[in-house]
Amino acid sequence: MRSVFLLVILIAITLSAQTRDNGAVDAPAAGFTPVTPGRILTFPADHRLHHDFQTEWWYLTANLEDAQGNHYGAQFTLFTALDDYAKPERRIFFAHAALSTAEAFYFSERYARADMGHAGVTASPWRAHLDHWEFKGAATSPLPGAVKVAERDFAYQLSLSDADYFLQDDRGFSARNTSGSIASYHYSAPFIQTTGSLTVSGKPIEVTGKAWLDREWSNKVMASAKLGWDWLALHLSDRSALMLYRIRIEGETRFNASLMHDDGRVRGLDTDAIIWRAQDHMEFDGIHYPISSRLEIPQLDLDITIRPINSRQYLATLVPYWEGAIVTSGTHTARGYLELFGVRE
Amino acid sequence: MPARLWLLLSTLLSHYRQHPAQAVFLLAGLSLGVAMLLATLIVSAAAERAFDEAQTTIGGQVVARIVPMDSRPTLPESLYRQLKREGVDHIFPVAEGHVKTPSGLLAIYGTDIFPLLNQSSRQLNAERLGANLQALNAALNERGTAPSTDALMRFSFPPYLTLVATSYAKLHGLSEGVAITLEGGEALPPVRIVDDAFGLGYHLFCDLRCAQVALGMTRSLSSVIVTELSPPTATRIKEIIATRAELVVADKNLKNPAFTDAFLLNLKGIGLLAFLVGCFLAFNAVRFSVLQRTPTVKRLRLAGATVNEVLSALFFELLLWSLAAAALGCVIGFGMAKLLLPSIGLTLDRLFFFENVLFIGAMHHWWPMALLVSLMATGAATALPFWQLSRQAPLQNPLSDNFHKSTPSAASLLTGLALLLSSGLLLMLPKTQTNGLAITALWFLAGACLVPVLQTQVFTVLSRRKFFLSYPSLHWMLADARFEQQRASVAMMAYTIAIAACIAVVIMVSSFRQAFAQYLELTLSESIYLNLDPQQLHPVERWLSEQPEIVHHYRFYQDKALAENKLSVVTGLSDHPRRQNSLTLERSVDRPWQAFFRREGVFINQALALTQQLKAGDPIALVIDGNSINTQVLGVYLSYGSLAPGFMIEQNWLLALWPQLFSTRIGVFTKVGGSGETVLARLVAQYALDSQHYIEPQALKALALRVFARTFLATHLLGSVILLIACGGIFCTCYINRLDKSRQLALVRVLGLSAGKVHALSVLQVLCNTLLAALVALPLGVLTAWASIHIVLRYSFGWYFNVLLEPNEIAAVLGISLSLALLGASLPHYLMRQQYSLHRMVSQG
Repeated sequence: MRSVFLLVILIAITLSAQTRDNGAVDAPAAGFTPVTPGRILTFPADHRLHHDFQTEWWYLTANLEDAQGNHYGAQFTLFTALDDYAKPERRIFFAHAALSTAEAFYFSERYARADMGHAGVTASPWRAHLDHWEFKGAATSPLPGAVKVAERDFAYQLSLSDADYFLQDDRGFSARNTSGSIASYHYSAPFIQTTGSLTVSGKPIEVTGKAWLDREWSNKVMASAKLGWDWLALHLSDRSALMLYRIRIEGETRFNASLMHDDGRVRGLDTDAIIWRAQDHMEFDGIHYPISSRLEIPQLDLDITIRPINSRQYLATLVPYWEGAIVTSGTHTARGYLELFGVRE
Repeated sequence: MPARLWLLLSTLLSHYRQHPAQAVFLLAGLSLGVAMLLATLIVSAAAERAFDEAQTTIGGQVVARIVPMDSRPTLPESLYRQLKREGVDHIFPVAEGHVKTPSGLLAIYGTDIFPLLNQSSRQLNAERLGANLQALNAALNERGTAPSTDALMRFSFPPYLTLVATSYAKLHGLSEGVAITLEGGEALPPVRIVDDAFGLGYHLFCDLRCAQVALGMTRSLSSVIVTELSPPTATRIKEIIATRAELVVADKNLKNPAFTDAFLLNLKGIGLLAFLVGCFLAFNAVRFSVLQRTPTVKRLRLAGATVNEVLSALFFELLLWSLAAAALGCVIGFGMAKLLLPSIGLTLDRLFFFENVLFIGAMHHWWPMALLVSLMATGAATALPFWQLSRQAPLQNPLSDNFHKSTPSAASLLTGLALLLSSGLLLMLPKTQTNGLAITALWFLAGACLVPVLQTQVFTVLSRRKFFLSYPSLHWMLADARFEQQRASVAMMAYTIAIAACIAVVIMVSSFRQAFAQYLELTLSESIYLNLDPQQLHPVERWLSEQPEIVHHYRFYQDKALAENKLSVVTGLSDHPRRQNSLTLERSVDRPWQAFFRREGVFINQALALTQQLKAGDPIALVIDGNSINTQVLGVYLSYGSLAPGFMIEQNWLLALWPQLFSTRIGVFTKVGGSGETVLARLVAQYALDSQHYIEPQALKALALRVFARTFLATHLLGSVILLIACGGIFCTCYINRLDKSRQLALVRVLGLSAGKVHALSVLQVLCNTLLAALVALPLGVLTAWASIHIVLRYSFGWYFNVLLEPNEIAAVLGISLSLALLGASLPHYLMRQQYSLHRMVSQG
């Protein structure tokens, strides 16, 4: 095919190849602030875009249900990256949106550069957008807020309730490897009540459910060729939420689990006792993704089987991954989201 | 059986060991014929494929454009932003124009490529994408340059990259990594040459911001291109842009296929002629090899070889020649096509708005076609002589010569006349493209048939004149020429066709050049064009009125209107002789201009006249800004192949009908002989105009004419090659004649004619022949050009131009043709001077 489009794709792929080749970098590029323990996260200042960090992202997932009890999943992610602190016009944004039903899966991906002005994050009122995709807060905070995505095949508009933010790991400093050389600042809001409407193949559906917001910023270029993770976010009940992830970076695996309560308590879990085993795999583009698994956490008397509501929740984006709404059976009946990215063991 | 066949074949082929020149001419004729036809087929296929795949190029993917309203030069970038924020997809901001470099104007095209990365689940075809990515990677790696790992960022942000298609880089001598310097001293980003297959077209392709800087378009856009447009999206866009811009849906018909098709048709015609001439040359060579091998075949028959065995051996020989000619022809044809493609591609782009780079593909794809063409050529050239050779009776006198016995003058005459009659009948039929082509072909064949008849008759009449008996050597030459006609006729037929083709090419190119120059004059008649910001309009107009060297300036009003219920372009025409001069009326009523300025009618273009079957004097219904008027057609003006219907109306009348019509475009005429450059320089300095605010028509015209000249150099080259082939045929004929007439020449020498005199008489003989051939070729070439322009072009594409006869160019063609023919005739004598020296002949007894 003779197309500029492909040339651009090629360029983009080679760009991502560059990040793979570079691997993780210990020191941030000149001008950027290093990610270190002890930084006090303050709000609403830390809801804003951090110009002194290279990468930043907002991750919103929602488990939704219509009046007939049908289960849906919605995902909205906005990433931003800057490679040169002295040249803020080089900032780029890209976003993923996905909608899952039991029968179908829709996703879309958008790119923009900051200097064209159709993507960005504003502090007051708080608003993150790329083209017409929008995550808008009420004032200077993302919550309460609303998220709006519209594509040709699918759309959703969700109202998000106010919810508490939980600082992850060491007061928001979240190390991704043992030495802490790869880390990010990370906070979450797992107890968001949501209502809204979905449009699937032109048909509007009213839904309610729970949403989960993760927010991270960092200075590390993620080396996807040597990087992979399995990330689980479960609404165990109305009052507790489990976050569990297993990150593999250059042969090292870091396992982390925490339980959050709606009263603000956070409890780290002993990962040595946790058993998380794959049950069923599904292959996409030559990679076998463990879309179904069994999770045992003795500390919580938890023994569940995790299954996707739709096994084909694979985002064939420029950097592809599997991410989708899941349900559990066993000791706990829960809903949540599972993300499977990068290299597998 | 195979052993007998092999023996026969090797015996027959051994002839070429003794007469390598015949083998060379046979192979040269066949392979050049194959090469020429193949080259034109490759170019045509490349153009057709490029046209089909044009939707993958930047321009070709555009289904609509959002352009400034009211002739404003640019769009504010904020409008694009708003469209994106409102959810309008498949749109891209564009800054495009021309930048001045010391070597001329270069087209630059800037856009933001990030939105190209957008994708959704329904659009994605991962498998196809993957395969193509591999191909692209391979393509880049083939050039020995590994793909740049940060190319996206390098392209989109300073210091930027300038991507250039290989063909465009070749044309302008751009090299990898070199920064193009602009006339003002600034430099564009380093050039990155990419394969033509990427579909960049003939532009310097760079980031939007980079192009904006180069074009002086700060935070503004030339247009916003739309690559996918559904009716609801169109409605949505119109709501958003409201009165700030205009959504123009692309009409692919406006890509001017008439010009493109006409160009390619001419190219194919030249290729076919070359093929025909090549076949003639091969036929000539074969004919004499057959003549000389006749005794051998008779002996073989006497030795027991059957007709079928001889025929089979000759069939294998035919296949061998086919294979050799296919191989050689494919290599030469591919090389020629490769040489021609960049120029032809650029012409199609610049002259005919055909944006895709012509992509030649791999040579091996053309082997089957080369073989087929070669089989056709070899079959055409050798079938008849070989058949005659195989039918030789074993006991017939080995020295008898069937070819010399025949006197087909009457047959040739009848054939020629029959062909002329047929063409006359075709002329009376309704004219179509096929009809026109058939008439042209019939004329060519008739001309070719009549040449030997004319020559035979002339030499017969002259040789019977008593006057020449006083000059025995001259009389011998005339008598010899009369009998030589059968031998030389094929070469002369080829030669006639070649001269006629060259004359036709010269006339068509001259006419085309004139039409193109007129087209440029029409579209770029002013000294300066200004496209100003609204606030600059009045001050600049005041300033222009005060300049003594400016004779006229006017606002250029153009918009859409209905003519006979058909969407057309209405243009206002102000009352000034310089503006009137830029319009060429093809047909008109009496005193059209007086009637025009009395508002008694309008001028319509050829496209509107053709589609609505209108002519001067016909009534026409117009709707301009909702106002219906019934008026008349005062004249039809040349639109040079444009298929966009349009009409011109008196400017004040237009403004009275459409008071809100607004324009920021101004046309400026300076005094005759005056230069717009100095006025422009002062204007730019006075009002700080950017390059997007003005166009210098002279620079654009010069560029277009340069491109034109370069492209038609290729056409001339093809014509010249045909002529060379034909002259090769004459050389071949003369050489073989010399061989064949050795005994006669020896006798003539013994009778007292010097070698120089024999040579002079031979050359004189050829000169007479070629003059007679030229006599036929001249009207044939003129008629062919006329038929191609007035029948083929007109009835294929609804467009034609006037035939222009340039005596100097035609005389040059004739002069070169005659010189080459004489050279071809002299060379054999020179090469064989030792063989027929008096000393040698005496020594041989």
